[in-house]
Order: sequence, then structure tokens, then C-alpha cells
Amino acid sequence: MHVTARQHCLEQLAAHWMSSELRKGDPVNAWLWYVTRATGIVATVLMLASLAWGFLFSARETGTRLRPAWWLDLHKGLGGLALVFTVVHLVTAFADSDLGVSLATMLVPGAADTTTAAFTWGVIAFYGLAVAIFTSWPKMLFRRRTWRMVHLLSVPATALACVHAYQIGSDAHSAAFRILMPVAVGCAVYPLGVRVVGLALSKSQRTPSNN
Amino acid sequence: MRRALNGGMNTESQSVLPPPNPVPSTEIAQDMQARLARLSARRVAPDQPAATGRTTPAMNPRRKRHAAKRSRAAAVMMSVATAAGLSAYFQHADSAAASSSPNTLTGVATASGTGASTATPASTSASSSTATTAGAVTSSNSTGATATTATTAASTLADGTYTGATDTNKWGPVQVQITVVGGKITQVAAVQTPTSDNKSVSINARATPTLASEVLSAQSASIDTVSGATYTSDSYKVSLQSAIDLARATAVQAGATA
Repeated sequence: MHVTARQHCLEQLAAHWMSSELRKGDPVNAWLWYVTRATGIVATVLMLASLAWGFLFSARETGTRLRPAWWLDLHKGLGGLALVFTVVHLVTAFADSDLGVSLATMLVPGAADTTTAAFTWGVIAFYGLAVAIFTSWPKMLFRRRTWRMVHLLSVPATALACVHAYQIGSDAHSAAFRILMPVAVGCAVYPLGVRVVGLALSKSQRTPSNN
Repeated sequence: MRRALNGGMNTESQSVLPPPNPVPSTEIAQDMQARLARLSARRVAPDQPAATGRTTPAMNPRRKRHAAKRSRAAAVMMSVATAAGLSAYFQHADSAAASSSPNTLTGVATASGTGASTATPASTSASSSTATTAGAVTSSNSTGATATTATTAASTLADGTYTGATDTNKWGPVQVQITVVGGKITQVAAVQTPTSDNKSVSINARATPTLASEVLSAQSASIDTVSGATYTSDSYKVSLQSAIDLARATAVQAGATA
């Protein structure tokens, strides 16, 4: 009697599972999709944070030169973490068979069949981030000016990542995204503005003395 | 040594040989000694600031490899926790959406072309599996005759273009339109597919051509579900069935009228 009741309960559970989960797609794919979305958001925020940290570090006006090693190390850490999350984002998107994203779509700009522009921005942003990070390790091999120009590729890369998120992100239309993303972008743009203004001021101060 | 050698030479040899190098004075030698001593001291204790006030980071053995080690660890933990939390939230939100919005079949299947027919399945069902147009399909024309038929009553389809009812699943509405020529389905198009989610857009872009080709070969709504597009496939079949039912009803009605 007891066994029969338990068996009946198990059968009901199995029937429910079959009807609700398996029939409606692979749950692994569903989880991969959730991880893809989450890592994409986190990677974008980390890119913005790394950018903000970099400009705060390089801008003398912010006074962060007091502990340059700490700022630089955290800047590097945030950039590396952004790259790691971006790679996880790509891997889970590729592994989600429902999504049907091919390797070419993820690695070749303009190779996507649908929403080509959004995919292209994402691919270019990924390459820009990778170049900015991987050229930081053999920094000594480059001339200072060359390295700086290459490293500044991270700025358009981050901008393109934000555009990619806005265009193709599943959560781009949510209220939280629409509020938090501008705040995060503002947090990155502010030190950028401070840096640019500081640079312009220092140049204008140097010009008369040179003449 | 050199001075001794020079001193030992005669005057003739002195005139032939080039003039000797100037002898370093004691002052200069002492200065050199002092510089050497400073360099040695820097090598022994490289963390001491040099004359320029800068340290030499590459030579500093006591310099931390990661100055922001704790902050980096905190950033890693916060990022992982945020990603995990967002994933759990997305899963929860999807589950809630799925439980709160069962599939519904709404709207009216319409026809254009040969017969002016209107099918009114407009039935609301709890799930797509039961959301077939099992209800009666009512067709009316200018004569006022009304024909009611089951989905299997007629095997021929009247020529024309038929738009199925809209089946809404948890991702959004799906509506199918068929074109019948010579009693056969010659064209199938998805009039509506879910567009709220970019994943849905991507999935539907891949699934709808497959479903359409299956319909053209099967000439019915008995088609296989596309893997990874189960919701869309189910809704597609429901809307397709309503369009086919309308075409059949039109054919039956046309026969009755004749």
C-alpha cells in the first residue's frame, strides 16, 4: 500500500517533469542561456569599471597617484576579469544549442546571419579588449607612445560592448538595465572627462613656456 | 707605474713617444670611488630611493607582486556572485512567466482569395498540446449558409490565402499564413513570431524555415518539432492547424454551395 502510494507519487512527478521540462527544451540549454546573459552583463560592467580605474589612475587630478601600485594592479585585475567573463559569455553562448551561434559568428565580424551589426560590435569589442590586455604584459617591448595608443583601444571596445549589450541583450529593455547601464557608463565617462580636460589644461599651460 | 716608466726613459725617447696620458688626480679618483660605492650600495639595498627619487621596481625584491591582492579577490568574488545571482534571477523570472502565462489561442483565422470565410476557433486553452482547433470551424459566405465540419471531415483545401489564429506562448505570439493553390499548400509564412527576446528572434529565424519546409512536404500540421524551438513549434502547429481547418471548411462550403 505504502509502496504503491510512493510509486504513484513518483509517476506523477515523472509525468509532471516530462510535461513541463523535457517537452519544453533542454534545461541545460536554459541554464547556459541564463549564464550567457549574466556573464555578458557582468563583463560589460567590469569593462566599464576597469576603464574608470585606468583613467582615475592616469589622471593626476584625481590624486590617485598616492598609491599607484594599488590602482594599477586593480585596473589590471578588473580588465583581466572582464576578459575572463567575456570568454565565459562566448563559451556558454556557443554551447547553448538552442541559440545556434556558430564559431564564425562569434569570431568573425559580420558573419552573423541575424542581427549582424550587434554581433559585429560584440566581436570587435572582444578583440579590442583582448589586444588591450595582452599588450599590457609585454609592455616593455613597445614604445611608450605606441603602447598607449594600442591600450586606448579599450575605450572604443568598451563603447562597442555597451552598444552590443543594448542592441542584442535580452535584458536591454528591462527597467533595471535602462537605469543601471547609464549610471555605469557615467561612472566611466567621468574620469575620462577629467583625464581629457586635465590633458588639455596641461597642454595649454605648456604651450606658452615652449614658445 | 706609468710615471716610473716615464721617469726611467731618456730625453730622445721622450720626444718620439706621444705625450703620456694625464695622471688622474687624487680628487677625481676619490670621486670615482664614491660613485662606485653608491652604485654598490644601490645593488645591495635596491629599495632605497636613488638620487632621482625614483625606486627601481624591477630590482626590488620586497615589492608586492599584486599590490591590490585583496581588492582583486573581492572583485572576483563580487563578479562571480553577481553572475550567479543574475542567473538564478533569470531562471526564477522565466519560471514565473511560464506559470503565469499559459498558451492561449486568440484571434480569428481569416481567408482571402477564393472564398470569403471566417473561422472562429478563438478558443483559449491551457496548453499548446490541447490548443488545437478542435472546436468547430464556422464558415459563412454570401449565401448565408453555415457549414460546420470537423478537422478531418474534408481532405481537400480550397484555394486562397489563409491566416491562422494567433497562438501566444510564454515568449510571445505566433501566427501562420498559408497559401493554397490547386488544393495544395504552396507557401507558408510566419506572420508573427516572438520578438521580445533576442534569443527568440534568433531561434525563430532558424526554426521557421524548417517548419515551413516540413509543412510543404507533409501538407498538414503533423510536423516534427524543431529541436530547441519547442514553444515556437507548438504554437506554429496550432496556428497552422487553424489555417488548414479554415481552408478545408471553405472547400466544404464551396462544395455545399455548388
